[in-house]
Amino acid sequence: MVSPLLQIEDLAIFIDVADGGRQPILTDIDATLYAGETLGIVGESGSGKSLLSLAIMGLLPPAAHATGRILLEGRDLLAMDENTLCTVRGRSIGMIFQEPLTALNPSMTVGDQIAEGLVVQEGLSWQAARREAITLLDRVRMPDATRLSRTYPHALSGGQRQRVGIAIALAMKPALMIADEPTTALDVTVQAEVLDILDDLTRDAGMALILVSHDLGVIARMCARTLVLYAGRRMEEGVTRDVLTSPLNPYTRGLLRAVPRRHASGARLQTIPGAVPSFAALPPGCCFSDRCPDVVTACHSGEPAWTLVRPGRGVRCIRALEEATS
Amino acid sequence: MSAVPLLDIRNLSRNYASGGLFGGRQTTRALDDLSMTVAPGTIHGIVGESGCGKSTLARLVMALDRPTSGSVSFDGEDLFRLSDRDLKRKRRDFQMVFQDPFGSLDPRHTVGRIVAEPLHVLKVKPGRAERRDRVAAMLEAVGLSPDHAARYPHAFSGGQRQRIAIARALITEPKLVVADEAVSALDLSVQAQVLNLLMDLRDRRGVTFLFITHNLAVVDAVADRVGVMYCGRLVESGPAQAVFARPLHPYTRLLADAEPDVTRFGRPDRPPVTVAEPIDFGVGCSFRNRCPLAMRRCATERPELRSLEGGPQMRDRQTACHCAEMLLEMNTPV
Ligand SMILES: Nc1ncnc2c1ncn2[C@@H]1O[C@H](COP(=O)(O)OP(=O)(O)OP(=O)(O)O)[C@@H](O)[C@H]1O
Ligand SMILES: Nc1ncnc2c1ncn2[C@@H]1O[C@H](COP(=O)(O)OP(=O)(O)OP(=O)(O)O)[C@@H](O)[C@H]1O
Ligand code: SF4
Ligand SMILES: [Mg+2]
Ligand SMILES: [Mg+2]
Repeated sequence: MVSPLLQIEDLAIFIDVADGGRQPILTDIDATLYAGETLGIVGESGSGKSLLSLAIMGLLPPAAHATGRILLEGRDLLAMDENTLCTVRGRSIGMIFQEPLTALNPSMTVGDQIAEGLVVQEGLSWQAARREAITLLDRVRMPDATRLSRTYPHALSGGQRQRVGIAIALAMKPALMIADEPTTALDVTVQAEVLDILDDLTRDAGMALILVSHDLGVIARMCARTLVLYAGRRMEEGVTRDVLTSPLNPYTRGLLRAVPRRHASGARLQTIPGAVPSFAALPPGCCFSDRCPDVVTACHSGEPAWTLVRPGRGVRCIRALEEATS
Repeated sequence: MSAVPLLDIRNLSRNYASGGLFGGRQTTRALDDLSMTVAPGTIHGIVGESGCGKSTLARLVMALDRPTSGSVSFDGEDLFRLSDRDLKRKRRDFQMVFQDPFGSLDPRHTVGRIVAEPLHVLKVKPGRAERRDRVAAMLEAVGLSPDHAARYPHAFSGGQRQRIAIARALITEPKLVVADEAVSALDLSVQAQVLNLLMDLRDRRGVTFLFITHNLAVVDAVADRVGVMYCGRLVESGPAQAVFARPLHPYTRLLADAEPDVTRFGRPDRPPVTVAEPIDFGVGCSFRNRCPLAMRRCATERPELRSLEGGPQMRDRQTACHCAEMLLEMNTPV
């Protein structure tokens, strides 16, 4: 049997808070990813998607701490020392960061930022690495790649910067690619081409892909499976088509209703009523119970357990279980 | 549109010099003779190719940058002819949400201070208590909580930072808000909440928005009008819903066809993209190397924005394509 590329077991992430305590953000995260598989992560803003990505990369901010296990080809990343982690990160895991400007070095040409990894990790000469950088920029549809490779990030548009970030991640041909909102600054035609490149790599090179996005259309197009997060918890997981066409969790249904659509002029968009509670003030019982349209008394009495309604289809909601068994 | 425009942009061009050391100096024409008007109390969407000059346009409209040529009038006054003092006074009336939220938030200031900052320019400066209340109300309006005011920007997620920037831009209820990719990092529910807030501000307070985004569905849902940009020029403009339902420019059509959709699973069947031949952008239509309708005329004669015959359906619509009539007739995906 093939063993999984990535296995996340009982992962939790805490953040140091001002009074000296620790605030749990992500809790009870489990996930398995084989080579060539694609997992979409969607969910509320602030629910911990980027922290999860950073934890896999070993790049959590100093205030954050992880417990549990993140196994890459059987080796626990959370238990590795910084040096080993550095080599693993460089060779096996690539990341496209959510905010490209913060991830780029303002005082280095973008071509050299792409070339750097190739020199350090692959032992290429700077000359060869710079040539490769231009090829990569061409691939992500950077216009006039040769000239733009010699410019600094500030002279690029938002989408051009984002493509530099994508080229940096692609340069390493990682076994696992984590893409955190990779195409938000791209017009839909360039977006389609970049998504095709990622798709080709999963098919032809067996790259595994974790794609974080708020754009359900992008998730539908790219990901075989989808995980829905709310308040740092898994609410629902399954084959993408099932999750988006027959959602089991009321939060997922709320998200789908909020997809922007053409409306009669002036009509308002549908939202999920109420506000996202802060992590320090989650309602008792189900974390979504204070906003859920389907709430019943039993929802307040304890956090619903993560339950598999059938193999590969999980949900956290007592009402979904009623439905599934009736 | 009969109302006197709030924003009148005339023949605006902006060149950037680049290069140097190697390859000699080159200029990028980020904006190329662009003219448009924005009526007060409307949401005016701008969509377009990545790198086509949208953020450049935004910075010029905000008078954060100067054009190579052309003018921007705001409320009847030419922004680039105002004295520094008058410009400062004018700035009260317009605010911007920048494309890169983190870069625009001072990491040393608390969120409360960042959001309250524009209140300083008001003629009647609010007192401490009022300031605090307005910050709290604004944070809630964008789906954050008032106690977030005491924290620093680094402790927030990407979408939370974006909302801090939106709260700062809206707190003075300025006449014009330029929003550059302002809702792209938000989850769908919060995005809907923020978009509803913008529509409320438009309807109740007459706030005008120049709304730049790559998300066509968002424009479709909230914008009154939309301008489609390509290579520094406006190639199509009109009422948002009509433009996407029946594009009059092949680039708009390409955009509408490429848009991802929650009901389409897996990779769409699309012919492999052929790399477009580089062309001389100085002459002819800059879209011709990607255009399925291109003909000889497109390489020699630059298409200017024009209206089409066709009665009320074509009212308020403009396109910069020689073959728009053909596209309209086909009315099938190109
Ligand atoms: N350095 C930090 N210090 C303190 N709190 C933090 C820090 N980074 C993140 N957080 C908190 O952790 C939570 C999760 O953040 P994360 O960036 O993972 O969210 P996200 O799901 O990626 O959201 P978005 O969709 O907006 O990008 C947020 O509520 C945020 O306030
Ligand atoms: N400071 C600068 N120096 C040189 N060139 C620049 C500078 N800023 C922008 N450019 C160039 O001008 C063009 C327009 O940039 P702009 O940021 O306006 O694009 P945009 O439409 O906002 O794109 P995106 O959707 O990717 O954000 C781009 O080709 C960019 O490379
Ligand atoms: S003017 Fe010609 S090249 Fe340009 S969009 Fe129209 S048909 Fe295509
Ligand atoms: Mg994030
Ligand atoms: Mg931009």
